[in-house]
Amino acid sequence: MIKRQLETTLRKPSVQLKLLVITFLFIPSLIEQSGIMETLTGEIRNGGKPTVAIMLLYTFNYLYFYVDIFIVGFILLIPDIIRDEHIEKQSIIMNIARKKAAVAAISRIVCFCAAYVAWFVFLTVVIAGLWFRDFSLEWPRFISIIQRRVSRQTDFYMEFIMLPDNCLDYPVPIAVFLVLLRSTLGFIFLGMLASLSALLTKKIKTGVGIVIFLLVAALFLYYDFDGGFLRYFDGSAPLLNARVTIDLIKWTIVPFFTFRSMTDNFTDWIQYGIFMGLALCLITGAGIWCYYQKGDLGDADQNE
Amino acid sequence: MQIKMNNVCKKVKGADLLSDISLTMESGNIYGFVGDNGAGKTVLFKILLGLMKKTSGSITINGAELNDLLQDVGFVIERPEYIPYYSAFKNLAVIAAYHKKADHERIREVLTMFGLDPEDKKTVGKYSLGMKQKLALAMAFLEDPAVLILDEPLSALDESSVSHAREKILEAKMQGKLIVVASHYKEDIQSLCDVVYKMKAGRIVAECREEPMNAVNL
Repeated sequence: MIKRQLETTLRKPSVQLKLLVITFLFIPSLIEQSGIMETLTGEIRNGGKPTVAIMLLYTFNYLYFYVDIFIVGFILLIPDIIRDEHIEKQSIIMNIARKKAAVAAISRIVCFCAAYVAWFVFLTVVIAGLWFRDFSLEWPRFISIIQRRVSRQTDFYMEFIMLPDNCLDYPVPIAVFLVLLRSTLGFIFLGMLASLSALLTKKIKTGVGIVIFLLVAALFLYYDFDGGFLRYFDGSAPLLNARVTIDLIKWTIVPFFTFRSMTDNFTDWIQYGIFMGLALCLITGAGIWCYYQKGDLGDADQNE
Repeated sequence: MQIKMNNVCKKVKGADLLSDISLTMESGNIYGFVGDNGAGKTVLFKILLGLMKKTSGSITINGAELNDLLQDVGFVIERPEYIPYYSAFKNLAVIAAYHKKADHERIREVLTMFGLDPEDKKTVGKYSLGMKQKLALAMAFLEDPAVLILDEPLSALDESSVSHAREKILEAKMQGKLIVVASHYKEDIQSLCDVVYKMKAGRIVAECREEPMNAVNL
């Protein structure tokens, strides 16, 4: 049934148009970034060449890709992802029981988010593959050289690759898998939150609005608060301890999609992103489940 | 099959959408609901389908409490549901894929039954309002359900299609189905219904068994 739902939605002309626009935004950006990656890493003597796997890690850690393409595209697709727009009541009744309808609604979001990430993985593999002609699954030497330079604070421009400290402890396929898993869970959480909000308020635009709000809040903290640190002086504390720093970035959606800097600990951030993403998916999924058991169905947009 | 509603109420944000609805419906009959817009007919149908939750009261199906979606039901409610970028055949194939009760032969049969061409490749988005309504009826009849809930089933149909669709609804009644119909048209009520309930402000204000038209004229 999920296959049927995927097919029905993907054949929707408006969905195809949105995907086409997002894809056309992504491809030139990816080509540009592949060129920059090749130029910058080419300057490192004996650093080796970038590979498809490195480009995958880069793409799915690069905040600008999320802000400008992935999340914007996702927001456009939310109305199509969270419900069976044209045959909503029929598809609910056809599930026979509210429990089954809830499972179908949740599965639909999970499958779409996985397919959404998979589409960009596919594009990255094809385009970066053609660009670099290197599909090797080893860490190129330039990664460790860049990390050393960043830790010595001599080469900040290299930080653009955004692969934090100790990611080299992991084999490339594992690192890629963890990063993709984190992103997929992030999108599933956003989709489920949008769906739950739409169910509770009976307005799809509330679901869309809440995702836009989370994105704007994350960007505001990230850029206007020095990477998400809120600092103030506590007048009552001894002078040496008066400067108080609160790290707010982990309360935003940023850890579901990227790291703050290369000096972050890869394991800590990826663990946090995956476990927090999973927990929030379970909470929002439980919310959808409960709504399907207790709430009125089939009238998501009755006031619009 | 017997559907029994006992003191069913529905409140939304303090407003009474339905108040103390009590009625019994049995297979082999057509039950008509008449009333102005906002009288509560569609809410009642959604509660019967299990899409909306009642605030209080009980609904039993053959004596068993209904707390979930109604099963073995076909319906047309609010507006015809269809996927505009698929043909009529493909639309029904999508619905048939859920339970796999209706095969391609049945899809062709039910489309023909309501005057649609199963081989027509035109997408439903290009259909006229009447053709979309025929498709909605075909969708409701597709799995030969025991219960049919039809909200304004004959609106937008031309004269010959109306009489043809009425025949099909009456045939379904003869086959022992329980049919619930809402309509603003006196002719539909007169020609189809065995029992008619008149609704006003979420309440049943009149029930006519012998002379259905009496309810309409009240």
